[in-house]
Amino acid sequence: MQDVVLALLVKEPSHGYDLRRRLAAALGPLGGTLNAGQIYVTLTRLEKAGLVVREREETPVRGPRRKVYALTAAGRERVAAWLAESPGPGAEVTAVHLKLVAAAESGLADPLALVDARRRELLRSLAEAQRAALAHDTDSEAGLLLEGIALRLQADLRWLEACRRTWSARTPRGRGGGDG
Amino acid sequence: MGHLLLTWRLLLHDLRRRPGETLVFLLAVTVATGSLTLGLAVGDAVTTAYTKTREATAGPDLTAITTADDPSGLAERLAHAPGVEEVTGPVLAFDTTVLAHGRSARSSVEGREEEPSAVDRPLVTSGTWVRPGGAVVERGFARALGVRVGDRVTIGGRDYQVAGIAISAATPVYPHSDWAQGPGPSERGGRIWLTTADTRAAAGDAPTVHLIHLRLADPEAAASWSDAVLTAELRGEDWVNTHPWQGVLRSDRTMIGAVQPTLVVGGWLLAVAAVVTLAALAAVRVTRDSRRAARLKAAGAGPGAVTLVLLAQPLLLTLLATALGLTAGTLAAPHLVDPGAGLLHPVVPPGSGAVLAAVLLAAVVALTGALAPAVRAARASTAQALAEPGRAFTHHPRLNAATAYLPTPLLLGVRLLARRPGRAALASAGTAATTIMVTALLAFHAELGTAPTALTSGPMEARTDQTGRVLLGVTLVLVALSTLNTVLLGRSTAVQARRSLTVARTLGATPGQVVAALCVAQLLPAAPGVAFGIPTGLGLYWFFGTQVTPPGLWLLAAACAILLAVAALTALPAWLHTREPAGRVLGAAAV
Amino acid sequence: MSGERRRATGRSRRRGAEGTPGPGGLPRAGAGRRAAGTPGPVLRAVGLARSFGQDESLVWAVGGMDLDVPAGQTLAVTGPSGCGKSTLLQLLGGLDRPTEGEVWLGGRRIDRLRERALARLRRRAVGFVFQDFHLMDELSAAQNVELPALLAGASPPAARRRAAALLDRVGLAARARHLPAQLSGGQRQRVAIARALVNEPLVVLADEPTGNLDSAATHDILRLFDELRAAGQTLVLVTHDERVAATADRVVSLRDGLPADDTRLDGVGNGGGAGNLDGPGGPDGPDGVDGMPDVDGGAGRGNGAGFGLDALLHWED
Repeated sequence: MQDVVLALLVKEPSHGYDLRRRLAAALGPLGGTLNAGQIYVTLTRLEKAGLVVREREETPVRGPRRKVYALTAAGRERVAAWLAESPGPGAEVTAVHLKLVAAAESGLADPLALVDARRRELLRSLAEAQRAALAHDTDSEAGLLLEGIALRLQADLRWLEACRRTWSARTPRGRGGGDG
Repeated sequence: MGHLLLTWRLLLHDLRRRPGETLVFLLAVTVATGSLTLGLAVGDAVTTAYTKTREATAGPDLTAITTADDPSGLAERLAHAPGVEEVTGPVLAFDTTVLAHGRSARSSVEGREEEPSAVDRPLVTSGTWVRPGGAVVERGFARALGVRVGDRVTIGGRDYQVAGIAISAATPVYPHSDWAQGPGPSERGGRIWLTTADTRAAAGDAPTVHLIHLRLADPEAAASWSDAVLTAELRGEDWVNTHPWQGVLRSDRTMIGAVQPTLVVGGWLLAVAAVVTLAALAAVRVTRDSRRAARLKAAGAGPGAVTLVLLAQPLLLTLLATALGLTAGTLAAPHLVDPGAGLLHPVVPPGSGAVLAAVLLAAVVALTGALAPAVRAARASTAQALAEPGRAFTHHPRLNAATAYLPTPLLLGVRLLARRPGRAALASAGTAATTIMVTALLAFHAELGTAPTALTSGPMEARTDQTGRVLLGVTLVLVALSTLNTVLLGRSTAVQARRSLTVARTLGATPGQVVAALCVAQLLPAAPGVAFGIPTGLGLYWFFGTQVTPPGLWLLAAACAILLAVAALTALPAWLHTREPAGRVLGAAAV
Repeated sequence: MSGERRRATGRSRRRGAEGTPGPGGLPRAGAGRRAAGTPGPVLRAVGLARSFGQDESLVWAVGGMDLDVPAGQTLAVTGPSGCGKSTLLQLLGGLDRPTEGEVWLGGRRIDRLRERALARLRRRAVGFVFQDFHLMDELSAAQNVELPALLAGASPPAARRRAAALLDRVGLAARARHLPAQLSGGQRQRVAIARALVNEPLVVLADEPTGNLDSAATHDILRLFDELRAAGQTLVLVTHDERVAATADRVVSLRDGLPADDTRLDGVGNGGGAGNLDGPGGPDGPDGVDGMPDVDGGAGRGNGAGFGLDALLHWED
């Protein structure tokens, strides 16, 4: 969560309320449980870690005053590192999704390149799982486990295909080959 | 009601989408029924034509011919004989050779009054009746001689202007109408009327006869009347010959003796060809039909409704074609029966026998061609039909194993053939029908080559021409239908083998091998058809005609020509089909 | 023709003399000889393009792609439906002609060959496997397998021997006399694979080979392909199924008729990471039996490469 919040601050400084709104939009119904308090706690922690600074306070026409946070250089580095880091083969869909959203929002990484990289990684995992599965009988215990892993990786790969379609429609580059 | 509406809609849809198929169907059945109707109707047509002519010309029930110098006594006795109602004559007549347009022909010349007589009142069809110096020529004879009103004919060295053309039912039609010949075998010849005075002058010293035309109280019993009444006492010393009207009719009917079997046998052969056409069409349609059947069943239609829908089109078309064939046969019959045009030609509605035969033939054709696929489609389980439309193969493990030793075209061709033995039988039957007809035509021409010139020229020429024309016509129609069949069968084989041959191509069969395989699949059944057709054709010709055998070289050439034609007709569409790269075909077949 | 026949029988006799199939259950020697004897890629596409339709309805199914398939490689082509995978396969196998570009098979340019020459080439150089099997319905399994051998001019006894051996290798010796209709989908596809192999082709081209199969049958087919891979058979398979693609040495994904990604998977199973060209089942493959990775070994190494199965196991903790 910290990384996502940081990424949302890359383009411009913002306040907790806005960050919450943007996160909720990206998460849809899954963001319903997200409350403002969690965002503020996160921001406070990030501030303590020296990754963000409180830039100013905004006074809107109505409602409470809002603290506007900005990214520090260390924070920017942390976001870049996080985006470059693979979420791992077992990562949840939500985590990968937020990373793609974060990449797009921050402009620090091309979501399509991330999709492609992840696709390649998952394909390798799947290759390994499949080869292992072929060596085992489907009805053995190991075979059953491998079947589950392979099915799950396959599902992830199919979802990535959908991600690719959607993100390539959003990016002005259209078809983005990334570094592939 | 709903079924009927659905059937009707599908029918209209098919008609609109595939007019060619409908037309071919219609044509095949029409040709077969038409030919059969014609064959059966010509007999009736002759009788009717004769009867009509007899009525129109007050034809005699009996004609007596005598060589007596003075037949007045005989005429008197006949006039008072029991059962005689009216008498015309004695009519002076003699047998001579007439000249017209530089051609000579044998004919009887009869001397008639200028007033119409009571019995045998020839019907003038153009010009006028006899007048001094003016001759009337019988219509069939006139046509053979090529004379018209106003032309000149020379009889006994004198010239006469042709005053008119007439028909009469007193004698058989040309060339059997010369009754002025005395005792002994009679020659064929025509009939000319002059005034009695002119006849007497023209006859000169030539032997003459007298004709006495009688109307009897009981025309049906003319022959027995003659036996009972014409006793030696009544005849007197002189030679008297009698001809009842039934003999005239019989003589007229023999004129079509050669034509009728051609038409009847030809009709059935055409029916065979039509069955092949319909079955080939059904084969082309089978996938569509079974898919339609499957969808209908999936939508809840029972086997009955499915059969109705599938059979409606062939049955309705057959009905229409039967009607067309009957009409065409009926309308054409009078023109075939009387080559010499010696009779009146009313259009006669076909007899119940002809109608029955035509309907029977059409039913056989439609049912063999369409019923089996419809029933098969209707009975297949819905799921099965949806899954594999129109696929039913016979498995021949041994045959398939044996063909492994054959060259590729034969290997593929024989296996193709084995998949559809029914179609092979159809192709055989179709080829046999054509071969029979072609053989008969060859036999006919061989007979002409060896026949005495009497058949090919002179009075019999018209009749021989007529037979030849009918034979040729039936053969041509049959050849046309067979050509169509070969193309249709070839196409349906190619369509159904499309996937399997394309797979063979992906496995490395060259387009040439594939085309050759399709040709093999068509030629193998055609060969026994030819082998069966030649002896059968000869047998039929011998049975109905003369025992002539055309030269072996002719038969061999005909057999080769038929097989070559089959091969060419198969190869061409197949070749066009294999010019596409295999992948495209496979893609199209998979869709 | 007689030359071909002689060669074909000679080949089968030689193999008959060897007697024992390779460890993968399929002959290694033939494929190895080919791999050694063919310089450069077995299959090569240069600027390959194929369009359908005209004017406004013109569609480029394959839009000018370059592709090299080295001998012994198993290449999977994936992509969403309509991306041109099947068209590509047909172009590579000479079943269709490209609109532009070149196809080279075994060092010979084939895109301009006439149909007849293509057919002769296909006999010996290409084996096809299709999604819906395309077996001859009226022929038994053995006769289906024999057919390409007969077309290529093999003598019937030789063809029968080869078919029997291959059916045995795909595990269908007992069903040699069955008609396709009497076989399950997976069995039919195994017959089709045996048929594709009967002339020892340079390359086997498979179009959605598991598209009509359930998961158990798919497993069998993939295992069979893996044995082929281990035996050094060059194989191009088109699939939309990631699990099938993942069994290949290399995955090319197509989008709109162009390659969008090209991932090497060879060596993945050996824990050596991508880029290891001496993949399982390489020239000295016997140790990596069937080219199978040792799953326990891979996990045991625990090298933390990140995307091995070990990573998943770690995640399971």
